[in-house]
Amino acid sequence: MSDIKRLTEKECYEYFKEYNTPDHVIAHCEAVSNTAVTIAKELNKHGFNLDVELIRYAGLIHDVARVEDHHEIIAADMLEKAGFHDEAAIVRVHMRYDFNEFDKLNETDILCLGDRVVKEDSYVGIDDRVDYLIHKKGENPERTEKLLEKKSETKLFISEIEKCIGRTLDSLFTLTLDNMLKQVEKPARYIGEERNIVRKDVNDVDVRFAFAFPDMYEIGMSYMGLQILYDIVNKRDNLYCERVFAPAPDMEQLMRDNHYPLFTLETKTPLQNMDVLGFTLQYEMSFTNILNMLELAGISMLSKDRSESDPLIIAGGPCAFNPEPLADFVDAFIIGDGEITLPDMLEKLAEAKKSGISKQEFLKSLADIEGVYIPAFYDVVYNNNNTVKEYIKNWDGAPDVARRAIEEDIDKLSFPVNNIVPIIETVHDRAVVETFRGCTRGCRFCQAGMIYRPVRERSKKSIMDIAAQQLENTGHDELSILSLSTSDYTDFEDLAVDLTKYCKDRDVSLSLPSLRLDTFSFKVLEEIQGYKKSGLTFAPEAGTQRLRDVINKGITEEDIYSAVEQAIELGWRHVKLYFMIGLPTETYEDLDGIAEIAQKVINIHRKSGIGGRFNVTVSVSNFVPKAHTPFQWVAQDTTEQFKEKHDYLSNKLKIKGVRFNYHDDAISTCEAIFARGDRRCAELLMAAHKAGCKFDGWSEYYQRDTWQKVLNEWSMDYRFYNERQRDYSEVLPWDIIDSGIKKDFLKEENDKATKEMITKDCRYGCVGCGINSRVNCSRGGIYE
Amino acid sequence: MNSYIIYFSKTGYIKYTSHLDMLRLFKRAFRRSGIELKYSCGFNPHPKMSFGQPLSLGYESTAEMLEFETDKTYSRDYLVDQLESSTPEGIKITDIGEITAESRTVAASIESAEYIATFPVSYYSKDFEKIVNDYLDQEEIITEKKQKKTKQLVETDIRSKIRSISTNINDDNRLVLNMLLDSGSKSNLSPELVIKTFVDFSDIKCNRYDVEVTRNKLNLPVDFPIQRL
Repeated sequence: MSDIKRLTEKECYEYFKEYNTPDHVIAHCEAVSNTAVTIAKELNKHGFNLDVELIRYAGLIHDVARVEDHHEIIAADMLEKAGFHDEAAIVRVHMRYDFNEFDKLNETDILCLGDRVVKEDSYVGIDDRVDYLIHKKGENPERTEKLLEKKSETKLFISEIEKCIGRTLDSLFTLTLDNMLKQVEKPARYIGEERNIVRKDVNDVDVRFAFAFPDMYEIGMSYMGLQILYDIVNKRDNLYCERVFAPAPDMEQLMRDNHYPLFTLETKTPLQNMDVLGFTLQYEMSFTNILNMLELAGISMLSKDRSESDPLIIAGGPCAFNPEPLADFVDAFIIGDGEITLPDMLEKLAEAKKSGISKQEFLKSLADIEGVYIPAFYDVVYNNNNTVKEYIKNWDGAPDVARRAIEEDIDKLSFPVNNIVPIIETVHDRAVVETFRGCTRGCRFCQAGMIYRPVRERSKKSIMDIAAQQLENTGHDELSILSLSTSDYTDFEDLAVDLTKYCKDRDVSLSLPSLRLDTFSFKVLEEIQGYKKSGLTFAPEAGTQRLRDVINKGITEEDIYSAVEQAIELGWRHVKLYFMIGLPTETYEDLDGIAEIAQKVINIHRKSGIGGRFNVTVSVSNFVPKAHTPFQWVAQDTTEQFKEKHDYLSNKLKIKGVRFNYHDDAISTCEAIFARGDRRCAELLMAAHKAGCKFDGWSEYYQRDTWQKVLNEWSMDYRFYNERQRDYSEVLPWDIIDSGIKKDFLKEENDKATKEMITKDCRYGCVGCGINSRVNCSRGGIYE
Repeated sequence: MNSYIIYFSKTGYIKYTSHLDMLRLFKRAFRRSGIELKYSCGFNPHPKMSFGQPLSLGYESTAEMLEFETDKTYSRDYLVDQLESSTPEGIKITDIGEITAESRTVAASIESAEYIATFPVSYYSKDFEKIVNDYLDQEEIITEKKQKKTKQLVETDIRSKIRSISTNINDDNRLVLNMLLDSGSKSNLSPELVIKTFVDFSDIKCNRYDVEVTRNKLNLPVDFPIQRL
């Protein structure tokens, strides 16, 4: 090749000067050259051996003489004379050219193709280009016909190329990830360069799994479950867990405009190329993001539309305890603790891939793993009144109910010590150790308090070890402990003392959420917070003792007031009070109680004589009845009722020093529909997604009017799901999931609620929730 | 007390880490590394550590500087090893220096910075050498700059802050500008303003996201008391 004389870029621009080529023609030449080169390089990756440099410079020079008549002849003659024979040959024919057979294609074909898909100075594709030519000055039927003929020829040629390169021609001419990242807010959300990220050679692993969090990076990276499963899956050499989050709207728009598929952070692999995609279901209002992420990945949303080559879509987390609204979209759910179930499932897939069994066969092979629910194995029959009649198995091997996976000894489960350290600030940006799972208090509204039973503790030694290693490996300067009720840890006082000392010695701030505020806790708080006193939080949940008895929230006003007195004494200047409204049996008297508590807290400060600034924040959320709780049968307040109650409280809480926050009423209505919905909710979810709903848990993104419209247009009456009191005899959609808690216990608790009777914390005597018939419950009745 | 300066590069996707996030990143890297930083006194002690000059989001760099103070004395190898293994992959420690005499901070001393900007246009498409000369021959180069506090756009003349610009060509025949600009607390010029005014002046067509910028040097005064460790 070395003896062949080739045109250079410098010479091209010298010729442009010589021939007075106008700027817009040069820009066109540059675009054709770039386009043809891009196509040639892609074809060379797929077995061709095209001379890219020849294409580049023939492209650049091809219209050099465009101001002349028969410009291609003039240019070709000039090139020929100068000794650029190959370039000349291409330029000579470029105005009238018929493509070669695909397997015989050469540099001329590629350049001429480039010329046909560029309009002026940019790639537009064949359709736009021909359309432009047809409507150009001098439009006539004869010319149009000829152009259309050329167009169909070119399209045929393009389709051959697309078959060969395995992607569309358009996709070669979109922005790169780098281009997009330069245009978005917080680009570090998408780069995956964090400390402790796991890198594996994707050719060395059997199964590639993407952990998908259906919300933004900052939210997802604050979730410990992600770190736990990332760690556990990646500990196996043959499995690779990567991460993906919902892109923020600015990034999403660019990705859509450029047909850029959703990708994993670790290797930037399109999700379509993963074996398994696993969504975590933390809150119902993230469901639209799941559909949006699938769409952004180019994966069919409905299970039935997906093929053998599509990734398996799985999901787990608290909302999987009523999986039915997502049953049409998800192939398999993981119910309960995922630490064993998830890797087991992925290992099974590794085997299945080797043996080449079908997706259907593979799903069947999962049926005997505890904690797996495969919706496709069950058909739902409905009564005329729209309630569920029954679930009918369409495959005999499916279990009657999907039993929740319960790991009895969580101390044996590994807990991450090499947490990924986010680059940008996340909601919770800190080291986290789980102290125990489960709760004995039995608050009747609380789903977590039911579905994570029994209480299973980690030993103090392993908590201390994990904390030390995590702090060392991450460099975090904050440590938090994770449980449903910090103070309920058996050895809490010792643990708190040890953690406090450990953190103090290392300048690490310690955060102990949901402390029960007794004398000891104040001592600890005084020690760890010193002069930096953040707000003190109480969650009475309801405004009167009567209603607190109904919900079985074992906190009295005396508890609160004596704690507030101590707190004021010790220098706290801000108290936060959390309440729920719309609880079963609630009256306006209970709302008055909320205002009374706030007023009394203010009064305590006044009486203390300490003076200075003092604030109370009252935060009110709207009660959403959840599956697998004693309140799973009750009706929810309507959006209007919530609104009235908010207005009422706003008025009542016009107290100096009191701030009032409340959650959007309409969001709570939507949340409740999915929390206790059935498979027919898929239609609603799909409609919301199509209408553009996403990030519904964010008040700034929640589209109130769109949701209202979608709800009203739905073939079901949405009030059936949230405003209806269910009968005990009714088959509930989530009865297919066995949480380990007996339904009779939930009924008893609901009955007691209506009678305003409390149930004691089960450490003072087993209350018969039924979990000990499944696994050993070590906490029941320990204080008896 | 010891004062050290580390030089590091920031390449690849990590270039999308903002200045504030870089501060947090290094704070954590030091905690992981076990190198004990000196802390400031007062109610809210913070580690004695600061960057030579913030780097814009999206720029790569081969020559970032970070100075820090310690009570203990550390060896060069120890510092390099510990920091290298505590930072994300896109950050490489390239050198370590020691400040040998009482001096102002590096941040307060830096005078100028060198940048390389690569444009998505052919070097040969115009006589860029002449264009750059003409650009620099302007008595003033007026552009709009956002004021930090008020967020309002104000007109400013950047000519006096441009020390030199030369043209270059890369392997793909693209236009490259090597720019030496004022940088630091006394006088500072963002390459963004040069890129914007140059693109307008030379009438080249490109999107901002197609221009790649790398910082490859931060210049201290010659008498700055720094020595390679």
